[in-house]
Amino acid sequence: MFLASTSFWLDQVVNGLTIGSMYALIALGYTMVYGVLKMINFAHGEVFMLGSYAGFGVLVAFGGESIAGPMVVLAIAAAFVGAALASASVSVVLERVAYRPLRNAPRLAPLITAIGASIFLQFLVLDVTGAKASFYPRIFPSGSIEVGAFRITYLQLFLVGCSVAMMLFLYIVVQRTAVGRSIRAVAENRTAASLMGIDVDRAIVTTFVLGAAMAGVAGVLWGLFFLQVRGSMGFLPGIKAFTAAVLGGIGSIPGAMVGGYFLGLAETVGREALSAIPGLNFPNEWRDVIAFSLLVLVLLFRPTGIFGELVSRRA
Amino acid sequence: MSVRPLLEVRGLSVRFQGLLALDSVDMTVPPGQIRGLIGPNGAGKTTLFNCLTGFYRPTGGSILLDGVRIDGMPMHHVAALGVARTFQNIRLFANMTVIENVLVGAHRTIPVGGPDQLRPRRRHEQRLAEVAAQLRGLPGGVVSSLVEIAGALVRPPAWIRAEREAVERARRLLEAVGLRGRENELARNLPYGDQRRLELARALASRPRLLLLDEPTAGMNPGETLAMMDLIRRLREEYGLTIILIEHQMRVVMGICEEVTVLDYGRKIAEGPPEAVQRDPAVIEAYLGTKFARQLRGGHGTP
Repeated sequence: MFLASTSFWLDQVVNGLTIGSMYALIALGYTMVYGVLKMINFAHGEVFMLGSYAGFGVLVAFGGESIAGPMVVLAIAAAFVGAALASASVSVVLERVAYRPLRNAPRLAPLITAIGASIFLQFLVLDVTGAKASFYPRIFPSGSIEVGAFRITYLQLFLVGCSVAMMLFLYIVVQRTAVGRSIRAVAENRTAASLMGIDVDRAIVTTFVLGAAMAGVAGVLWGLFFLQVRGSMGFLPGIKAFTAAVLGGIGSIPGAMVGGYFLGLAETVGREALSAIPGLNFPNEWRDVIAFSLLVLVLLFRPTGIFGELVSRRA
Repeated sequence: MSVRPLLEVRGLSVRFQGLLALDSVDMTVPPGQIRGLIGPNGAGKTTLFNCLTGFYRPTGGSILLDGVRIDGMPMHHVAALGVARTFQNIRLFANMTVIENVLVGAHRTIPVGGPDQLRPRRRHEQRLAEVAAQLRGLPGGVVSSLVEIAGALVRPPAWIRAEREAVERARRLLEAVGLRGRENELARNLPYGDQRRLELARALASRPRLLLLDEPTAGMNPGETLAMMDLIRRLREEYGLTIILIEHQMRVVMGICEEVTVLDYGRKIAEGPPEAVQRDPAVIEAYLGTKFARQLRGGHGTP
């Protein structure tokens, strides 16, 4: 194992980027909501899980395993839309009933409410599904591209490509449009923004919608990759994405993207690198140990994260 | 014949727990006037501003802007009706660029911020804007947000044009306040005087009818103060503004205000042309204390 081949390490990098893409997508929701409300929406992992379920429902409606040919493209696109809409709706309801009434409460109150909402949603779904996993149809064409020692499966390529496209979309919305401008203005100074004629409530809702849509799409990608959905699936990716957002600097959009990829690479490549030390063996579970050790280290030594800035600051 | 006042404040009171910050204040400002609002510290000047913008909900009385009652309205609605302000301690969006600050000020003139402000030239665009306006009227939910996001990305021609016009206007405003060529700097990197002028441009971007200036010359040297006075007068003419300004420098008040309202302990104690107000014993007393006022009067013969 110590002298593993180049291709082995390149595989690990690709794996890291794949998982990192999904962390980054989910992390954006944490960081944006933090930017405008200074609160951690711990129910975001469940928003991701519900998106994954919605995408699953759409794929089943399209015929499940029997989807083939060009229908695959259509079905996956529809799953994205369905997941984004479902996640956004849940998120908006959460904001409305759970967070908005606490907007001016001490900061601990919405945080605890968010944890409550997270548990509520998770167990609601576990109750309905009977805690059993459902299986995503295996419809994505298998196969891979190989260039020398470098190899990436079509699915991984698709996954990374979609994530990057989504992030680009978000970047344009936030930095180049009037909607994004109003979100950044609210993030910087809610009162001044309101005095400028910005409807603060609407800007906050839009922030939730954007973050949730990213999580919904990530949920579909997750399902296509790991082929399983279950009520408890949101917890670990949620908390990892939160870690990624903190790594990058919570409140910073580029920070969430970089943090996501950094965490994905650290836990895949990092674990293999540690295992490559003779005499040591770190089984797969050590991914999580590495991820959360990183969180502790960042909080200890650089609590503002890599970018350490506000959502409103320019990339 | 008298014109309808642009601002009419009637019996305005604000009570914070035990403290009566404003005590049935009446104030009428005709359109086009520059009105000074003065008074010792804690007199209630900023509280009055906060009521006029909708930041505070008064505990009594009413505020009419051009005949429309605005007290109790949410701030962004008051802003949409044409009230804008600057702050004593500058509150720019520090991490946004100069032009972005002005564009935020212009928010409601850009379709995603308010299609009602838009005058589309072609029929289908008009229809689109109407539908968008209706959808955006829905209670803040997924649909209205999605319409905004989709609109921002798909950008129907009328919206692009409106955004482009807003950018043009923002450039002209920056030029008017003397910030030409600084569009892409971050607001926090501007020197103090420029930040004040940017705040002014941002306030103007919302096309206000009533502009509230909270100590516009605070921290300025005499030269800068004179330039700011000039600028305020010029902007009033150019944009047909009615202006109320809180000011401590008497030179500024005497120099540009047509009328002055004086507050003390939340009550209006005097109102009128600056020279008259300056001589008013009640005002002198409020500023200098009873004893000193008596001495002043004593100079005229009565002890």
